[in-house]
Amino acid sequence: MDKKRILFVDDEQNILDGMKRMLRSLRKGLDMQFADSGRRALEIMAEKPADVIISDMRMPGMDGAELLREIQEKYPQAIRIMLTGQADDESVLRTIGVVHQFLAKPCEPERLKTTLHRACLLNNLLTHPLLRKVVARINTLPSLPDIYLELRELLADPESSVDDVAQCIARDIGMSAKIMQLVNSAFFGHFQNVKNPEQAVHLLGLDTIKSLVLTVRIFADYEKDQPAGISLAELMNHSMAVGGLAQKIAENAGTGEMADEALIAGLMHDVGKLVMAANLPAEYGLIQELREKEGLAVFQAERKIFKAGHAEIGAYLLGLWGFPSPVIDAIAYHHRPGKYPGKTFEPLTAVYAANLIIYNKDKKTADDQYEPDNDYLDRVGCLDSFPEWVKISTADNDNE
Amino acid sequence: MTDFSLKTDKNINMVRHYLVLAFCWSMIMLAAMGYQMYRAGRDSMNMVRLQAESIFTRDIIHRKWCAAKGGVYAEVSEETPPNPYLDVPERDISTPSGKKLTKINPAYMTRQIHDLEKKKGLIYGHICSLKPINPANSPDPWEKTALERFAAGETEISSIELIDGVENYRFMKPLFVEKSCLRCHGDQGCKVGDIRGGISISIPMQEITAVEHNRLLNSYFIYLALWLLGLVGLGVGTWRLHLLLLKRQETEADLANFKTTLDNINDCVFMFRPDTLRFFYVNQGAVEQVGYSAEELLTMTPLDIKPEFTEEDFRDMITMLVNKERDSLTFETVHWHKSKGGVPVEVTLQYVVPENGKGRCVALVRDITKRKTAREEKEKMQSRLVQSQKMESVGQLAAGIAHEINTPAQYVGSNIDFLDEAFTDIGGLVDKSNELLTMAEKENIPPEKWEELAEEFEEADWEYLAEEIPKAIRQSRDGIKRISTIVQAMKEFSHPGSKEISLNNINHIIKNTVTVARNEWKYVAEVKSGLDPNLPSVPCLADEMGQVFLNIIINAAHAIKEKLGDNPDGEKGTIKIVSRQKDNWVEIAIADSGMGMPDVILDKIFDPFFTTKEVGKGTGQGLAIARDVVESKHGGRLMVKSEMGQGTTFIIRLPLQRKTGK
Repeated sequence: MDKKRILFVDDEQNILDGMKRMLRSLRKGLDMQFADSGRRALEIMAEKPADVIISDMRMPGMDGAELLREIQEKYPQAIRIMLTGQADDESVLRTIGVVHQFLAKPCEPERLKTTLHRACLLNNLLTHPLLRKVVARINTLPSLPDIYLELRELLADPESSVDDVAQCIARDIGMSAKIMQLVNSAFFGHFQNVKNPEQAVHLLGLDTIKSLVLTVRIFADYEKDQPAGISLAELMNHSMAVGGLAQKIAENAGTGEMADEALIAGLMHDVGKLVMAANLPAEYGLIQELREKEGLAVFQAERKIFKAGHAEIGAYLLGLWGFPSPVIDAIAYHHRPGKYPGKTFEPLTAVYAANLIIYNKDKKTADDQYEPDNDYLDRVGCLDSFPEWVKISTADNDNE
Repeated sequence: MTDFSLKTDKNINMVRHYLVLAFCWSMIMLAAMGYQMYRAGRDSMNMVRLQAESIFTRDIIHRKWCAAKGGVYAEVSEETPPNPYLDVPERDISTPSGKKLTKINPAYMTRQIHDLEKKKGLIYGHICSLKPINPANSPDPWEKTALERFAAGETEISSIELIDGVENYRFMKPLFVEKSCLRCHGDQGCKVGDIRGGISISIPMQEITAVEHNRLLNSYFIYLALWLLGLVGLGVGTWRLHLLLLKRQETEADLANFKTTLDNINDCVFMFRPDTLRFFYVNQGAVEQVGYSAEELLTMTPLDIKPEFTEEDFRDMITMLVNKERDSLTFETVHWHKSKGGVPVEVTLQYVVPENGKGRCVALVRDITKRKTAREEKEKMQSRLVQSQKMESVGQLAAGIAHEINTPAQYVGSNIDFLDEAFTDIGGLVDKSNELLTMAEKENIPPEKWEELAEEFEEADWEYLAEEIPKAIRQSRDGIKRISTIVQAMKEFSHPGSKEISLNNINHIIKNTVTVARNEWKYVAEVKSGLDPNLPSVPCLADEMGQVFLNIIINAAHAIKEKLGDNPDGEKGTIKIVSRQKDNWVEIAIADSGMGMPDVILDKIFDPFFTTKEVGKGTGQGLAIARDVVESKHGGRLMVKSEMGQGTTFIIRLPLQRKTGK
């Protein structure tokens, strides 16, 4: 495997020197480049494109936002990370469209190393170069038009509370994903692992949400161009159900921390479908066709066309956006848990089980239903728990 | 309307007035004319009398002469026949040559002269007697009456009589018997002193009347002219008087209006004598302001209502005004209301000398309670504004300062991480070396151990470490120093020692400001400073001056940024800061190489809320506050000059000697 090429850009030589020394231990796996200006960075990219770019925001001449925008255009597959000490909202808002992740200076060496490490690993998730390009270019995910409209109305109404807005956003996975990206990757200096979309909205506050939605337009308005071949509403309902159940399963089976990750992973597990429907409508149409003709499952049809499924695509995107690893793994392997090397209960387990239970519940006949992957469940020691989880889902239904 | 009818009334009055005057004038003229006529008549009579008398006297003298000669002889002629009524010897004689001579006695001579007169002209005399010897000398009826009146004792009779239808002045005086008369009249039984008869003189009045009439006519013309002149003069006079009256009425009305106006204006007007200080006029406003009646006030002086002044102070001010050292004085003080106590007021005091009048002091007094409250409000507002502007810029700076601190924190952190790893690597080396040392003591080192050590060296890359560790330490130390500097500067910038004006090192304030604002300028400019190390300490408010420098430096950075535009090559402009002492001033010049400003903008930059920056980039308060701080609070000057495309220079001058008080 090639060394991953990382490009550091900062106008402060001391920072570059420090970075070089700090990452020296990784020199065997990484090809590190250093540029002291945007112009120099573009020259280096022209010689040989880097896989990951970590750039400072404020630099004389071309600043970080400009540099990353240019790189987004010319080298869309490059993972773009902003590392900056700048704390004002204005410059943050300028970068939202072009940056995958946002790191605040001073960044703990460990966090920087982890971020770099995960960014390098992401490439293994998605090998298809077109897909990589497509996904890395994505800023927004399709939202449910009704919810988007409702959100705009809520934001226009001075009486609205942050709770109203949070609940509204939490009902849409596209919006939730974007909000979680902003909060989790230290865009606004919160720098903490936010557990769920509602909490994220609370953290950002109404004013920031307002400017994000109305000025920066972080949410796509798909009212006019509904992605073909997919029912957004159906997808949302399914995702919400899986998220809720995964959270409960995780609570039942393990730790509270996992429950939050399970919820997010559950909510987001089908984000890849959104990406494909919105960004690759032709290919996505083919998949639907294939499904109907050959009676394949969605993920099988996807795999046939893209050599990757919505699971990998979703995981890749959220990986770019800096979601925590357990969430990425849960999304990436939610159709093929057997391929995942883990041996204990993880958010993946919860999402896998929840997705299966919800899916089967919607199908009336046993023929249409999927059997659980008992090998996997056995490996993670949850074989016995599975029936209990099914019960939880029915109890849920009863409650409703 | 009212004005107009008023004038009409006045016109009527004026006409009436004129008519009365004209009537009087006419009467006077008539009387004068009558008198003149009377005088003229009398004068003519006197004159004619004198004439008559002189004729009479001459006749008498002729007679006397003739009588004294005892009569004279004259050649007998037709005109001079012998006098039949003269009965004297030798009345007729002959000259030896035979010429006949006859004696002419006085009476005959007189008659002959009178006859001649009568023949020649209009004036003539007539000698007559009640007992004439010559019947021709018989008196006419008038003469007869006169002679009778002489007999009764009158000595002179004169009157105007008609003779042949012509007016004649008739004059008559008696003739008394003298010694010489008796020669002829002695036989009539006359005695000396008796009235023998009289001579009457008749002078026709025609000529005299004509002369008189002529004269009168002339004087009538003169009178007429005078009369007319008088009428015109009176007219003009009345008109002018009328105008004068009108003017006076207007003046009076003006004065009344003026007083009413003065009474109605909100300000209070007090007038007082500069010597006694006694009020002599106060308007209604003044009365209301101090609560004393106008009558009461007129017995008072300004000192009675100005508790803050001593008489001495007050008189000093008046003296200043009277001596024209100052045109007027405006000051704020308190007026003492009769019952309500002090009222804050603004007084404008002037010394006015009216034309033809005594100099007086006029005080315009305005109640400034509201204004004062408003001003206090404004001052509070101003100070809040300064505060909020400071907070705003501190807030703005905070992001920059965070960046300034975060940058060294980042590489210090990286370096420490590196040093940590390096230590681990070196630790391995040291361990291995120690192991070998121990073995060396036992002189028992297997060859593979050497290889291991060599590998360890390889692994640790000692060459690299030997080069990088000192660098990492040096850079980290620099980083820490940078952090401390900026933290210290920030601390001093936001919390300077004193809130009062105190002696401060301006260079230090400038350096601090440059440091805290570094993130604002470092991407677009180099700061070059030429600060005079021998600059004396300047009395100032350190935090507010810092604020001023900050505002100017940030503006300079923005101006340069604007000029650089997109600037992909990362070019930089300059901000040059120079401080120096100039006489009693300390001058700080901050020059940027930015866009410069056109005069239109230059004129407005110190206006509050004026900004050329986009919304959200500034409140437009920065320079307004800077000027307020420099000029109002420090008594200094804040000046600016700018050249389009070349840059802008702000010059701050602070006085080294601070006057006490604000």
